[in-house]
Amino acid sequence: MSLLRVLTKRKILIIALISSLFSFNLSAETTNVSLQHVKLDFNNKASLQRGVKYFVNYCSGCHSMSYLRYNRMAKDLGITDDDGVVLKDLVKAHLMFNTDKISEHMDSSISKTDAKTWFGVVPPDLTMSTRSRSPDWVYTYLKSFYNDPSRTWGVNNLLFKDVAMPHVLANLQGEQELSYSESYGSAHKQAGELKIVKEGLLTEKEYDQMVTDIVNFMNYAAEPMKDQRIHIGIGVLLFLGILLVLVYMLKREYWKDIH
Amino acid sequence: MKDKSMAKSQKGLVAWIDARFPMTSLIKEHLTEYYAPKNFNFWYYFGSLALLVLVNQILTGIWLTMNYTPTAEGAFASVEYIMRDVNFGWLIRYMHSTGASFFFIVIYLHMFRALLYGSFKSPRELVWLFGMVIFLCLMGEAFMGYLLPWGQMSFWGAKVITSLFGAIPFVGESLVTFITGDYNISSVTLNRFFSLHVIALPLLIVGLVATHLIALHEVGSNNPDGIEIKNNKDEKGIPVDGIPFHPYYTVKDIFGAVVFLMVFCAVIFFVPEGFGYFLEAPNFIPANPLVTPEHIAPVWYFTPFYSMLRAIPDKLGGVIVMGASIAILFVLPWLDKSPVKSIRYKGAIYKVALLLFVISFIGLGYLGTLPPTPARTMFARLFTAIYFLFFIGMPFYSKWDKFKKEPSRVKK
Repeated sequence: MSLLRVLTKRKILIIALISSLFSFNLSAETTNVSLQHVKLDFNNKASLQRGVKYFVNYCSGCHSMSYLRYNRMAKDLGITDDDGVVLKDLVKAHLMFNTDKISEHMDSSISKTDAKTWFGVVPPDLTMSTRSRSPDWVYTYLKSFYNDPSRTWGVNNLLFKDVAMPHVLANLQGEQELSYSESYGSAHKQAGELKIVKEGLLTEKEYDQMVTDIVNFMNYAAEPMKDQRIHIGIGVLLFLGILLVLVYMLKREYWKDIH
Repeated sequence: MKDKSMAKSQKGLVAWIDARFPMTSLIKEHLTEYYAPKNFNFWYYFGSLALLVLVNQILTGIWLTMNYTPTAEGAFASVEYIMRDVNFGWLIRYMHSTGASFFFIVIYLHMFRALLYGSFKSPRELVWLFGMVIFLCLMGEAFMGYLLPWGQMSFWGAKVITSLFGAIPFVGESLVTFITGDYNISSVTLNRFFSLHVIALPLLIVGLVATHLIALHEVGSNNPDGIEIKNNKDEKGIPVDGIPFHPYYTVKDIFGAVVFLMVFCAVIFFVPEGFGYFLEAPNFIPANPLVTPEHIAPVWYFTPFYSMLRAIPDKLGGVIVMGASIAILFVLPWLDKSPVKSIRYKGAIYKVALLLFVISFIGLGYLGTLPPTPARTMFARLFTAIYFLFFIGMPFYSKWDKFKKEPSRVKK
C-alpha cells in the first residue's frame, strides 16, 4: 500500500510540474516584442480594395504576390460589373503597372539580381506572409520601423532586427524613434517605446487604418477561398448533424435486441 | 446453373459469381457469420476509423498527385496551384493534410485500446506485430509526405531526420547519401520520397492492413473484459457473447464514422491549420537551403520520439534510444505476465503504471514542440525514463500486481 501512496504522490507532483511548463512564445522572430492585434474583416470589400490599392502602389515595386492572379483578386474583391464579370480595363488602369495579362500572377517587375545587389536579399514573396508569420505580426511590423543611422536605409525594425527593407511608408506614418530605458541599473540598454518624432501625412489613426487595409488584403491573398470554405463548412456540419441523428436512430433500432 | 441448389434463394448473378469466386462464403465468414464480442465500447471505434482515414488519404492523394509537380523548382508552386486554381483543390489538400494528423490521433488511440484491454496478448500477438509494422510504415509515409510541399519546415525537418542516420558508426555518412540520393536534400530526394510516398509505402500499408485483419479474424477480437468469447459457445457453435459483425458493428461503426466526420470536417473547414500544428506556419515559405528556420521541430505526431532523441546528450545514443522506444513495443506481448488481459481485472500497479506512461508520452510530445531549455531537458529525461520503465518493469510488476477474477460472461 505504501508503494501505491508513493506512486500517487509522484503522479500529483508530475501533473503539477507539467502545468508549470505551459509558457508559450508566439512571436515568430527572435524578439520578445508583444504583437499588436489587428482586427480583420474579410467581408469588408471596401477595405480589401483599399488594401490592394496600397499594396500595388507601395509594395509591388519590390514584392511579388506570385500565387495570386489579377483576375481572381478582382473577382473576389468585387471589382466587377453587376453580372460578376471582372472590369478588366479598370484593373489594368489602376492596379497593373506592367504589360501582363489579367490572368497572370501578380509578379513584381523588379529584377532579382538587381534586388540582390541593392538590398542584399531578394524581397520575399508576400502572398502567404500572414500565414507564415500571422496577421498581427505583419501589422506590427509595418508600424515598427524606427530611425537607426547605423543601417543602410537609416531605419531598423523592432520585429525584424537589421531588416534590409527601407521604411516605404515613412512619408505617411512619419518617422519614429526608439527610446531606450535602463533596467535595474544595468549598463545594458533595453528597447523601450517607439515615438513619432517627425509627423507624416497621415494621423496615427489614419495610418493604422491604412495598415489594417493592407494586412486585410494580404490575409485575403494568403487564403482567397477562406470565405468559401467556411460557408461550405457550415453546410457540411449541418448535414452531418442531421445524418448523425438518423444514423444513431438506425443503430438503436438494430441494437435493441442486444443486452 | 447446376449449383442453384447450393445458393438457396440466391439465383442468377450471385450464383454465377459464387461458382467462380467465394463471394458469398467470404461475406459469411468475415461479416454476417463473423462473431464479435457484444460489449465493444468507445475504444473499439478506432480500428474502423483508421481504415476510413486510410481510404481518405489514398483518394485525396490520388487527386493531389494529378496536379502536383515533384521537383524542387515546381513543388511549392504546384501546391498553391492546387489550392487556388484547381476546382476544390483547396478542399482536397486540406482533407489530405488534416487526414494525416487525424491518422495519428486515431492510431495512437487505437494502440492505447490495446494497452487498456491486453489486445496484444496471446493469441493475438501477430495482430499486434503486424500493427506495429504498419505503424512503422505510417511514420515513414508521413515523414516522406511532409517533404513534398517543399516548404521551409519540409526541407529542414527532412535535413535533421536524415542526418540522424549519419550517427551510425562506419556506414553513417554513406547511408545518409544513399537515402537522400544527393549530398544534400535536393530535387533528387524529393523525387524518390514522392515515389515512396505515393506508391511504395501505400501499397505496403494496404497489404499489411489486410494481413492485420486476416490475423484478427483468425482468432477473433478481444473485448473490454479481456475474456475469450470463443470459450463459451452455444449448441450451434456460436459464442454466446458474440454478435454477427454485420449488421451490428457495420451500423455502429457508421455511427462512429459520422461522429468522427463531424470533428474531421470541423477542422478541415474551420481550422485547417490546426492552430499551427497540422499545417505549420514556416511551411508557407518555400524551402531555402541557405536560411535555417528559427525553430526546427517535427510535426506534432513525431514530437514524443523527437523529445527522447533530444534528451540524450550523445547523437548516436539519442538515435538508439529513439529507435528502442519503438522497438520495445514489438516485444510487449511477452512482457505482460499478468494472468488477466483487461485493466478492469488488473490491480492498482498497472493502473498507476499506465497513467504514468500516458503522462510521459503526452509530456514528451508537448516538450518536443518547444525549444529545449535545461529545465525542459530534465523533464524530457524523466519522462523518457518513465516511458521505458513502463515496459522494462512490466515483467516484474505484472507478476506482483493483484488481479481480480475474470467473469465467465462479458459485462454489459
